Formats: sequence, C-alpha cells, structure tokens
Amino acid sequence: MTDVPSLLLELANFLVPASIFAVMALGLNVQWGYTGLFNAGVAGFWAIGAYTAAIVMTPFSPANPQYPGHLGGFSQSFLLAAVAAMALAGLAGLLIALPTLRLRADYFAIATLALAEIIRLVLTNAEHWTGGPHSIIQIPRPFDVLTTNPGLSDASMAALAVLLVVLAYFAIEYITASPFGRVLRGIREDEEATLALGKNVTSYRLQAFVLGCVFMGLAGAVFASYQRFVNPEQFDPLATFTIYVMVILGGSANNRGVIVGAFLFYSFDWVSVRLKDYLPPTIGEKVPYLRLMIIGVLLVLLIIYRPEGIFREKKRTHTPVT
Amino acid sequence: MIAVILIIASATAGLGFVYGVTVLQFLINGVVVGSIYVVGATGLSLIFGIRKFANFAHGELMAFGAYMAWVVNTIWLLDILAGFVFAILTTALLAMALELFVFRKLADKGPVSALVASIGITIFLQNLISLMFGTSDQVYNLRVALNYVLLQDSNGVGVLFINPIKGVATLVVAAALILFLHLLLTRTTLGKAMRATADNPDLARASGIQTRNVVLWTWAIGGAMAAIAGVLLGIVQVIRPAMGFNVLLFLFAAVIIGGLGSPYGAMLGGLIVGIAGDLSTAFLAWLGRPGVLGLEQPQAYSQAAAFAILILVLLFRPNGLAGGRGVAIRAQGRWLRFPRLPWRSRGA
Repeated sequence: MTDVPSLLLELANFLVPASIFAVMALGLNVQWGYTGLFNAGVAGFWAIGAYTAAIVMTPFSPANPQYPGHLGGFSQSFLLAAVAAMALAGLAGLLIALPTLRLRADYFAIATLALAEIIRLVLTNAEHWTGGPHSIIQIPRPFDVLTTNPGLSDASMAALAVLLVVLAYFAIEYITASPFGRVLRGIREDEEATLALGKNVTSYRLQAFVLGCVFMGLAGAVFASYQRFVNPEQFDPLATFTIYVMVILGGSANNRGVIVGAFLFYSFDWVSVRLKDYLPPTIGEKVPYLRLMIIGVLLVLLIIYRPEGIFREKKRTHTPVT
Repeated sequence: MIAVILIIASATAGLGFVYGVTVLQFLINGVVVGSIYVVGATGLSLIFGIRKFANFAHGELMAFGAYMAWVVNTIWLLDILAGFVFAILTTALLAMALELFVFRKLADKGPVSALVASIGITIFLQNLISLMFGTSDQVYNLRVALNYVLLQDSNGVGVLFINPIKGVATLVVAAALILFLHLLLTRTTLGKAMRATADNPDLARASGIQTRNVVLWTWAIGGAMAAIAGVLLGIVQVIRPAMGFNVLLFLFAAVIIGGLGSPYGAMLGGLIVGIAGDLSTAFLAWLGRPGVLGLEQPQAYSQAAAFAILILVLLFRPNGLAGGRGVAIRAQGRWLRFPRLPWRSRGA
C-alpha cells in the first residue's frame, strides 16, 4: 500500500468531525429549525449513540488490570452498531419527550438540559458499564478489516462520513418538504392554529423530536468509531450549544444552510486549534478561551442582528387552488 | 407547603433509622447550601418575572461576582466584606450592561431568542473568566474559624457541627437578603413598580411606570444577588470558572419548584433543592451499601436528585409547588395542561 499524502490526511481529519457535526445539525434542524423545539440535550442523545455503538462494536474489555472494563464484547459490524445507536437514541428521545414535550419552550430547554446532565452523570459513574472516566477504548473503525494503513483508514472514514451527510441531507430534505414537514412548520409558527386545523400537534412534535434524536445517535456512532474511544466529558453542555451555533449560523430551517454552518464553524475550530501551534506558548495557551469567547459573542450577535442565519429559510409559496 | 415539610421530615426520620442522629448533619449542610441557592434563585426569579425568559447566564454572573471578590480579597489584600461590596457593584453593572446591549434588543422576539443569547453570554463570560484568572480552583483568604459543636455524644465527642463562617454567616446573610428583598418588593415604589411590570408590562406602562428603568433596576438587583450568592458559594465551596454553571440547574430547579417569576417561591425552592441534594447523598450512600443495591459511586448521583425533583415538578406542578395545579383542557382525546390561563394574572 502506498502512503496517502499528508494533505489528504489532514483533509480527511477535517471532513470527519465536520460531517459528524453536520449530521447533528441536520437532526437539530428538524427539532429546532422546523418544529421550534428547543432541545438543550443534544449532547445526551449524541452520547447515547456514541456509547451504544462503542459497546456494540468493541471486541472485548481490555485486559489491563487498572481498566474497569465495560459492557461489551459483542464485536459487531459498524452497520449494526449504527442501527443500534440510532434506535437507542430514538428510543431515549421518545421516553424523554413523552412527558416533557408539552412543556413551554424554556421549561422544555431546562428539562432536556437536566436530562442530558443526568445521562452524563450516569456515563461517568456507572464504571462497570461504560468505563466511566477511563473511556471506552479500542473501538474499531468500519473498514479495519480491509486496511490497516492509518491513512487509508482516515480516508475511508471521511468518505463514509461525507456519504452519511449526503444521505441525511436527502432524507431530511425529503421529509421536511413533504406535507409532514409543512405541519411541523405550522406548529412552529402557530401551534393553536395547527391544532385547530385538526392536526395532532403532540404526535407531530413527538415524531419530529424522535427523528432528530435518531440522527444525533447516528452522529454519535460515527464519532465513537472515528476517534476509537469515547469519554463522558466530551458530551458536556458546550457540545449542545456548539450545534446550536452551527444551526443558527447556517440558517434555521434550511438544510443546506445548516450543513454550510457546520462546515464553516468547524473550519473556524480547526484553524484555531492549528493556530495554537504557530503562536508563542504564552499566547497559544489562551487561544482555546479566546476561541470560545468569539463563539459566545458570535451567537449573541447572530441572534440580535441576523437570527435567520446566512441562508434564509426557503419561501414556500403555494398557488391557491381555484 | 405542609406536604413539603412532611416529606422532608419523614425522609429525615427514615434516614435517621440508618444513620442515627448524624442525619441531622446532612440537614444542616443542606440548609446552608440551600440558603445560597435561595439567594441565587431569587435573583434569577426576579429577572425571569420581568423579562420572561430563562437566563442561562445567571450562573456566570455568580462566578463573575465570586472572582471580583477574590480579586479584592487575595490580590488587593482587603477584607472579604470589601470584596462583597466590590462584587455587588461590578456584577450589578455587568447585569445592567447585558440588559442594555443585549436583552433590550431582544425584548419583543420571544423567550427563546433571549435564551439563546444568554447561552452565548454564558460561553463568553465563562471563558473570559478562565482567560483572566485561570481555570484552577481558588479560595478566599478568610480567618480560619473552628466549627461550633451543636451536639455531643455521652463521651463528649462532637456529633453535629456548624462552621461560624461557612455556616452561620452564610445563613445570616441569606436571611438578611430575603428580608431586604421582601421589604423592597412590598414597601418601596421601585418594588411595587417591579411587581406591576412583571405582572403586566403594558398596563404598568399605561399607569405611568417607566418600565425600561424598572427592568434595568431589576437586572441590577438580580445581578447583585447573583454576586452575593457567588461569593457565598466561593466561601462554602471553591472558586472556579464553571462554579456558576454547575449550580445553574439547581437554581432553575429552585425557581421552577417555587413557581417561575415568584421570588417567594424561589426561596422555598432553593431550600428544598439544597436539602434534597444533601439528604439524597445520605440516601444514596445507603443505597450504595453492599447489601442494599451496591450502586457504584452513589454520592455522584446526588446532583441527579435535584434534577429529578425539577423534572417531577415540571411534569405535575408546572406552575410550581406554591402555584396550584394549572389548567387542563381536554382536546383530541388527551389532556393539554397549561401552567395557568395566560389572560388571568396572578394576584399581587
């Protein structure tokens, strides 16, 4: 096997995380962009997807006596892991949404944030199930059986991730352009009016929420497989807020927009991480904080001056039936 | 209210069978931490009442206040009381600046826009603090005080303790603040204007109240209370950039338990959350005993106790424990529950 050029390698390592964020942003777009559900627990569903995939895919618990071990030893394929991750994240979404969805937007945000924190607490502390702070390690990648070359492994992962973004885009574009999507937008704009038209608002909101969670679970499966380990600290509330910045930056309720938002945002992230290496250490160590400060200011400025994001929601006009 | 006291009393008694009298120590610690939540949650509740959105940046106002007092206390080497004053002034100014430059512009865009903006401010402030003061834990330079022994066993060994600074002083400050807030809300023109604006801004404006100024003052008072809560939290625990965000969900729990926008409810809610957190530590430790459930690292879940209470209250009493059951309307074969009818305002 020839070595993959390093530039391509860098590109692969940019594309995979950006695509994972894009899939999550698409999932959140169904919930927040189209239906107006403020899900502040994105990280929780992402974590459920990542941990499910990790447990389904890992071959065995490493024999290191210091390592507490975790549930697992199933060594199943990535495909099965991804399906399991999507199913479990969707199920978790259903169970969480059933009691909380009828709450007001800000109550719902607080409740989902609390539930995501509970998920993180459990992942951190149920060490015999999840490895706790020791992480689940040695998670295989989907193409590990075909190639052991790290460059090709990264490149194939990137291809898979981009393919998933494209698939997720078409799936969500199809769903949101359908009459189903029209009802979701109706709920976002005027819940009472949609109810008055005879639509079962609760059921639609539930479906939209679960659908979004399924995509977050998928993103979690790719994430776990890509970095070969998962740690509970990666799924903190900041992860949730990051996805919101992507969706709002790109344009809520515009699927192409949120993908652009995710890629743009991740390029900023990527550049700031690389920038750290080129700066003197006294400034370099401050870059992570400056980066997050810029993100915070960006979010505030966006919501004040351009709440519709870079790409506006497409106007869907319907010619009246005569 | 009576039910709440009964539940806390019976939980204490039940745990008393396992731990004996030491369970009261959990209760004492719970009341101390709870009184800090009371101060933080009343400020949060005031802002919620008048601006009608969940301010995620309130925890960062607390952390900001704690660090301002830390600067005065350990860098300028002044007394912690000077730190309190400086923290109150700077945090109140910061809160007013937030209203002027951010939230005033989002006033008519609905609660979620303001909520998203407050998340942006949270990220900004937390990292500004990390940038300026570092991420390591800090403590105040306080005179070390020995614990008061409240109860001794027959051998003269202490069983129940409370620290004069970390316990008694915290309780006194919290009680004084509650009294201050009560007098402010009921006896002063500003307090009455605040209640009127919270109840119905349009009507308040029509009655000649300068609602913009009232909102600004409410932010200042809410920020000042956040600063005090932050300094108290820094005294009882440690000072770190994420200290506020870590207790934010407890504050929300307290505010929602008491009924959103009701400062008096938030006082009750803060105590409940504090006591529940510490009593659940005892309960979870009991669950973690090998013969019972053998739960791993049970104490870590005590945070989850407050969240569980929060979610239960949201589900069954969305108007808060003090606020009645709300309204249920049957539509399409299922019950839709509303906190209260939007057109019927709560009596003052």
